[in-house]
Amino acid sequence: MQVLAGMLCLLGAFFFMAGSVGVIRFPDSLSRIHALTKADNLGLGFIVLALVITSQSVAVGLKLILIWVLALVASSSICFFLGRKLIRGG
Amino acid sequence: MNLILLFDVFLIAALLLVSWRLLGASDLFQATVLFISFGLFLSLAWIRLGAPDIALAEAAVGAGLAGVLLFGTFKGLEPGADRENDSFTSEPCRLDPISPCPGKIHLLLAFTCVGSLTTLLVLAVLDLPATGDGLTPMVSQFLERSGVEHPVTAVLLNFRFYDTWLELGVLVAAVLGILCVRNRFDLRELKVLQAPDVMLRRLVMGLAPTMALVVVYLLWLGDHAPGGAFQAGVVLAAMLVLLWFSGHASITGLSRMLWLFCLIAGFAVMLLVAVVSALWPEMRPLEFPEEWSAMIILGVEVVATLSIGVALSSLAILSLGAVDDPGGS
Repeated sequence: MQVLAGMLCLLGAFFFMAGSVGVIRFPDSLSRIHALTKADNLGLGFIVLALVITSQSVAVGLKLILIWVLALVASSSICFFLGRKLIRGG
Repeated sequence: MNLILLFDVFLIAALLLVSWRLLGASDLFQATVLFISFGLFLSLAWIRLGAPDIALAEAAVGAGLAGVLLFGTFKGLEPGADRENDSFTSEPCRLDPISPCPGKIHLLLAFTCVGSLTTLLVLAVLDLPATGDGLTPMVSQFLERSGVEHPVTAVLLNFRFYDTWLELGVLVAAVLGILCVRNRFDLRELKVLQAPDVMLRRLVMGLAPTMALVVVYLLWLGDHAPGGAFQAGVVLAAMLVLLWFSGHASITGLSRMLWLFCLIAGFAVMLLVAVVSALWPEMRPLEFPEEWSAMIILGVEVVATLSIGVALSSLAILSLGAVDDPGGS
């Protein structure tokens, strides 16, 4: 279980890394938002999964999943608002 | 152990780097963003020092709320000059283009003050006993008489009741200050800068119940774990600001009396506790009877959460709201 959690954490860290590289390397704001929100949500998902399978109780696991869902909702809607603002040139 | 040490060194390096960049930032937007990231690194440092209560408060107030207030302020400082205005050509010595460059005297004065403050702080740290638990044994000795199980809550709302009381007073004073600056008497005519849209309304409508649940949960958690009135109040404030931002009924819909009532309720309840305990026979001021202390603390915390939430959201709304017509003119 611990080994699996460690591997999931590493996988999550890889996606976070990919997202951060994207933010630095991509040319314009739209593709930067794309890199940040998509890759980081996946990375956070893997890390949360690792924490859930090592957590001792169901309640803690459910709270962790709730955090992930809230982060998903927040970052995708912020991505939408930023993207719309950029396209409209506001 | 070594990995943790490496992490600590990275954290300190990041804190120093961010604060250096913050001081050298060439425009206010950059400085604000750096200040927010400084707050987040600082809350990580608090976690590493084993103080999750302070870390929560720092992340919420130091990074979140202070960031919002700074954004609101710099929008007021440079009207129209948004961040697209990259051709910022003034000298690096001034963030605010209107103010004059500081002279040699100012720099000397600043260096003297900062230097003596740093020396005093270093002396104070050196003066601490190298080993020992400070006041921890005393707090844990009296913890079961305090009415709560979490030592931080016991200190904040029982042993050092007046500290929290005065903090609430500071919040009320801050709202009064910003009301004076913005020349307003209430929040009712304040409008959002842009018309709220459907997507945002739906999103906030979905999020608000979850946030309300988190407020109650954090408040209840303060009894036995990190959490409590301040953390719950900050989440409440965030909820109220989001509701206002998306065009729902928020504290801007309250009548002036009701709003002021919510604003001062926390301070007033604590004042009431102080007066009653001072007048009660055979009891000293701010001393609770043991069998009642759990109830008193819970009641004060609920009211304080309401006041903190309303005060912080009023600060944010007042600094972000549209300035079409100042009320007094």
